[in-house]
Amino acid sequence: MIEREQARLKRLHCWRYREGHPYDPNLTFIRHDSMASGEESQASNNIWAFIVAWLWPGGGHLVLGEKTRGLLVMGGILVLFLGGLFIGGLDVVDRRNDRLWFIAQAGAGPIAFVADFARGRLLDEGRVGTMLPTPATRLAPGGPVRQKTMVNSHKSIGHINEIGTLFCALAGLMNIVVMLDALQRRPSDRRMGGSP
Amino acid sequence: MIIAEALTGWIPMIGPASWLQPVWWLLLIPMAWGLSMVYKAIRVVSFEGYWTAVLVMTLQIVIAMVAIGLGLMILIQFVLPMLPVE
Repeated sequence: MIEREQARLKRLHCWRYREGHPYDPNLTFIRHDSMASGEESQASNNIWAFIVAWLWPGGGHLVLGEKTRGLLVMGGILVLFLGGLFIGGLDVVDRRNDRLWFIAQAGAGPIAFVADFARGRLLDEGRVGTMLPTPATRLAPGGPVRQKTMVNSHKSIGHINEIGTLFCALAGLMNIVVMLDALQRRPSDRRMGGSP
Repeated sequence: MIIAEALTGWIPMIGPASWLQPVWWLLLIPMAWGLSMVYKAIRVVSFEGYWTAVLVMTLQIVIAMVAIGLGLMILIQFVLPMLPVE
């Protein structure tokens, strides 16, 4: 950073020599206000894009004007998240029973919270399907007995539950990568992907 | 959706797709595809060869997972049984 600033000052001194000004080593050049305000504006854009990227996958890049990138990110994240719900049902997003998985899934934004809310309303409260009693089980010899509980007939189990949970968690984790990309992306990074 | 529920008791997006249970390992392919789509979307310079890059990355993930699976199978099925018991 210091080297870049020194190089900038050197360039400006050279320009003054060409213009015939006497050399003054103590001369300092102050950055124009528009440059500083431009950087501040870019930083605030990136922070806004970071927030929007969490609120809706791909939205951050759309805010930055990168339509193609934003739409492709949106497609990818939604394929993963909705694919997880399609495979394992609503039960794959469970804030109470699968807390660690949910932390990863929450990276996908409010859709994870909506899915968890819907699971609670539809499956846990028995609005869809049938509530079935589970047998009382003893977890270990001499250990405490787990009392009977009621589970929904649409509860997912086995590999389907694992894969569905993984799909949604990967959607959340990839969205965190996308959010970080939106946070540090500069206009010069847009290259050829800015227009659809 | 109504037909699916009537025939199989499955409500898409709410209940689990139990009919996928026997082929759960095939779901690795759409998972790798989704991951590649997102990764390449933020990574590529130009979108000209985007779908080719996604396809290549998908194949790389799938081949790597199959290779790891085969390696672990050889280790468990053939190498570990050759170790002395005591």
